[in-house]
Amino acid sequence: MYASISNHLLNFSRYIFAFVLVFGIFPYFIFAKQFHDSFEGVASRFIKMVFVIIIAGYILVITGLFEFLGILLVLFIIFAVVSLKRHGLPEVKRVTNSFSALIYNLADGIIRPKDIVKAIGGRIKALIRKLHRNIFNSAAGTTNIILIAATFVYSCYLRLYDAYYHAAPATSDGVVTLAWFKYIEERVLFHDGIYPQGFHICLAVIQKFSAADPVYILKYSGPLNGALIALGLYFVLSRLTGRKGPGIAAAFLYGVLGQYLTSEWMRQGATNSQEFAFVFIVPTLYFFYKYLENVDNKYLYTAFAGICITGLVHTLAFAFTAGGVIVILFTALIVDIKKYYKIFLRVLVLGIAAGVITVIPIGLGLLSGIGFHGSSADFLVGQTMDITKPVLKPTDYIAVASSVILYLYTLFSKKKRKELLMEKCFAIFGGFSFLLYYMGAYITNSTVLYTRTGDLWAIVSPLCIGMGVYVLGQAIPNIKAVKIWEAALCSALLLFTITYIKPSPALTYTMEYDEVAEQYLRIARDFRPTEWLMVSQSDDYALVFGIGIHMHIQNFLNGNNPEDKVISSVVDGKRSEIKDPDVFIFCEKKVFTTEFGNLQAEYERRRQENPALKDWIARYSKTHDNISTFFEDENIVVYQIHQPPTRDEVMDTIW
Amino acid sequence: MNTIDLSAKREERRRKYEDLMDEVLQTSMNPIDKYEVAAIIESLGWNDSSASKNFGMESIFELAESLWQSIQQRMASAPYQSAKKKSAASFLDDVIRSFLRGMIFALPMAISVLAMLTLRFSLWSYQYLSTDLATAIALGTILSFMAVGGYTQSIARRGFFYIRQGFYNMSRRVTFYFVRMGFINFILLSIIFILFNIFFEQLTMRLMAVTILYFLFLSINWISVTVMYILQRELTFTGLIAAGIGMVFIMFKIFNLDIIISQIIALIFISISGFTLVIYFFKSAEKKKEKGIAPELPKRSIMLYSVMPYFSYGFLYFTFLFCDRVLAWSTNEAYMPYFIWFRGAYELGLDFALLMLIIPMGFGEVVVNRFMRKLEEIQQNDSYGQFGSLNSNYMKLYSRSMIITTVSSIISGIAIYLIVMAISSGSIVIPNISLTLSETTYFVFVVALAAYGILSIGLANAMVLFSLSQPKMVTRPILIALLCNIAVGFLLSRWFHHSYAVFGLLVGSIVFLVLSCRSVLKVLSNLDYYMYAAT
Repeated sequence: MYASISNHLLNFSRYIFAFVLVFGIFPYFIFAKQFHDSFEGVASRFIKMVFVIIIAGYILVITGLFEFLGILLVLFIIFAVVSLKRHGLPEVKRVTNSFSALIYNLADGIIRPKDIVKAIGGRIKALIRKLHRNIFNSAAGTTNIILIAATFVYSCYLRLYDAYYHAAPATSDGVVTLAWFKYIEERVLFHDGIYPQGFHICLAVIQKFSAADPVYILKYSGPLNGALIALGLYFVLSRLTGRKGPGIAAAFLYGVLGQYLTSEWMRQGATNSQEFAFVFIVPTLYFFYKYLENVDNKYLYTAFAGICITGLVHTLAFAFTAGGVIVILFTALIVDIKKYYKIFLRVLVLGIAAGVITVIPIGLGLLSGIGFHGSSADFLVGQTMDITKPVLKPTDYIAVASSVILYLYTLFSKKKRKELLMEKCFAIFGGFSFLLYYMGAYITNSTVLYTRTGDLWAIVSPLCIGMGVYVLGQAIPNIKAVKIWEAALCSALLLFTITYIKPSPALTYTMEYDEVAEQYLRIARDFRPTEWLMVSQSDDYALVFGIGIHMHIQNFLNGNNPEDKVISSVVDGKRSEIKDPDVFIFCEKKVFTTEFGNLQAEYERRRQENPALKDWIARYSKTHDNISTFFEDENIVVYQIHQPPTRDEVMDTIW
Repeated sequence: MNTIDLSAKREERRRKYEDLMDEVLQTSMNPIDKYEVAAIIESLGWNDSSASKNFGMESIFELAESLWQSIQQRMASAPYQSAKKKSAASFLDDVIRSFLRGMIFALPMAISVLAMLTLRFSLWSYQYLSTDLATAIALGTILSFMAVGGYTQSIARRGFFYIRQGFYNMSRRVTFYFVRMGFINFILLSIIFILFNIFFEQLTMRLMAVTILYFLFLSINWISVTVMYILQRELTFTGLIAAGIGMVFIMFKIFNLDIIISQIIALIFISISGFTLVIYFFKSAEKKKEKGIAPELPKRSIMLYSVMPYFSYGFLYFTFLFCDRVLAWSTNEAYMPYFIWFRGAYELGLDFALLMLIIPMGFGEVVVNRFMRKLEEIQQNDSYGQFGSLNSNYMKLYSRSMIITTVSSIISGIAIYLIVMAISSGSIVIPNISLTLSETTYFVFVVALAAYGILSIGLANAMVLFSLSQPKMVTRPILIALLCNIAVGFLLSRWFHHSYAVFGLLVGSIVFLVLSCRSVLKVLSNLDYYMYAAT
């Protein structure tokens, strides 16, 4: 059963396993340990790994090598080259020798297996002690950890709720995302036109390593992206301000109270490349700011990878991140032009490089004679008349006020001007983001700005509010007291939210009955891939693609006489026998409808098609004994025609 | 009475001393110095305590010093005597024996192929299996070869090393140590495979069970086959395989049991009986041939260190042999139910081509034996000062050996090609045997014939290097060859057709041949150094 704990526990475990392996463990071995702050290191490695995966993914798809083995080989080659370059052959030999020595010692009984278990246990204990010493060292510290964990879990809960109960891909975009990442798996680039495929490559890679059905990858990824954005806000604010409170506040606001911000809350339950690109905006700006502060390349390279990711995933996110970089850079130039002039030039060069990297896949697509994805291109350049300014919400006022307070703080603080670079940068960035949200579409009549700047402001406004919390804390001289108060206030906010506000989960709409997707999953699990055919409506093509064979009901009915001995189909005027051992025919008892889009004509066609299909089944049942009901409820009925191949046909496939 | 006792004791001590000196000289004809003698007697199980107890020496070094002096005297006083030239009949006898011993190793394979062609099944295959079962069995078989490769090489090296010296007890202990390690490894691998499959659900539970059962029992069988090989009981394991096929025939054909169940029962039977026989053979050999002291085995770490290159080679070699199959079968074409999918046409091509290895394997054994015999002659006839001048002779000998191996490979390849083509075209009619070569099978067959032919020459090089105790000079080439095999096979199978994975095997074999030739030439050009290292 789809909506069961055991089903989701298994598939979610697979998802997390693949995610941690690809974006946590592999980068741990590939990238050098450069950061003292372990969270910073994890974030940096994650960003760089996503960049590597997208680039490798593009290359592997273009060369026709995108598959589990191909990805593994590429990662292994990168690991081998990096290890040799970083450590040199003697060090690599030393490591292998020490491993051999361990085996020899084990053989001689100098080291016993239980000693190894003990040593590992000791390390874990030491790690826990270290964590305890550094994080759980005070009531405030412990509370903060509980708070951020609770915020993250709560964020996940609100976003995954829909995925838990509904098997059908969320929103009309869900079906497209599913199809597109399956095209990547089939090594087909830009099947429906040019559109950044970075996100789809990442989904395909996770699918390859998790071995879960692509539907689960689709269902879990979007919700987790939203939770990762919240975690990113915590990471950035806690590191920028040196306090956990502002970070928790911002993460809580986005993760738990997101529906009260300006974003479309439903999108948090769906899976779209936009939200994936948004994961990288704030951390990229953070690493870029850290580069300005420390002039250390490790920050610059991470920021560079981050901005490239946004470009390879979503154009709007790229433009916004680039805008953020420019705002921060110019703010720095204003503060100290002498110091930042050279940095400006270097960033300019890398900015151009990022632009080029972003454009290369598009260029390759154009050279192959593929045009841009129609609706996306139209949406990007579309104009909407009569645009009004958005109605501001209380959170917008608080965010704007926070940015103003932050800026005023930079003016009246006793700190030196150069010491207030962070505050200035993010105050101006907050202002820039608000203006883009409030005035961008109004001035330009751009459809994309009109519909999407709210989503961007929904990320920046918690950042601004977090900064506001930070500035308020700065007014209190006793840092310890501030930390305690912040922890107490955040706890109170969390409890209040759970008890009184009770935010509703991000619920989405679907384009078909959940039962259809559930039965597809059942078939995909119980029947051998590529050996079954699903006859259903066109929306299900994305579900079935790459796993089984899909046929549209119209094509199935077209010229297929149920009284014939064998079933066949006529596609493009050609009749061919359907030889798949199992054919599943999905009939809607009542046509599924949704208010999204203008699909009335399609629904009408289905209403006329369904009786014809029922008639076909009835006539077929009279003349054949190999048809049975596979599933039935109040919405759909699924028939199964079982036609096992003959011995000779099996032999033909083997030898 | 006391005087007689003392005299008898003295005589006994002298005899022991002479025996020990002979043993030292058996190990090294020309020890370099007293330290080498010390090392040799230590390796024979002597220590300070036994040196004192048996010869009244204070330490093993005093005993070594004494033996070194005695050896020098013996060599100085002994009249110059050339190693006896073997008669033509004796030489021919040796050649035939070596050839058969080399070939007989392939006999079980030949019996299996013959059973497949006539009965349509063998001990672990069946022509009419469904493809999913064929995939599961193929997976189990490939895993078994890869898992067992290292252990077979280790057993063959270390176990055979003691057997050659007549220390059957030591050989048994060391063999069963590796067998135990192997079993632990197989069980661990099975558990990992099961857990992996439960989590990722790649194979159905039935297929997983089939894979694991075939993997476990085939691995056990390969190990027992290896042990019998070192005990020179090749015909016994050939008989066991034949008996196993017979069991399958009875259960499957007469009692109409499921083929999988029949094969698993037969595999269990020959696993158990194989190991029972191995224990029996060892025990009886120990009773008959055990000699001298029964020393302790060297420290396990030293033993493992010494066999590690052989272990690595065993693993890499079998991985090399099978990786093109894995690459071909994992190529995602239109029809791909699992991550790996048995492609019979590809397998058939490789199987036919594999038959060509039988004759070159026999010649390989002859070449190595002759090579090593020549080495012994030089050790007997020449002093170490002359090694340098003899290197060119070795080059000539090596060239001759390579020519023989190459010619035998070419002849074998052509013969197999003609036979297979004749049977498939109907020119030769063998009752019960019919062959139809698909385009893929023919293509794979031809390329694999070339690949195996080249590989067989490389394997002869490997045997030479192993005989000179230079395993690392084989391990490196096979590793590079494996990487080439993977790289070429992966790219070509993905870009063109799954059958192009066979070019990986071909390129890998060429690389292995070139690199192994280079290794042999390197050794031969500096033979005195390598011979010293080998002793």
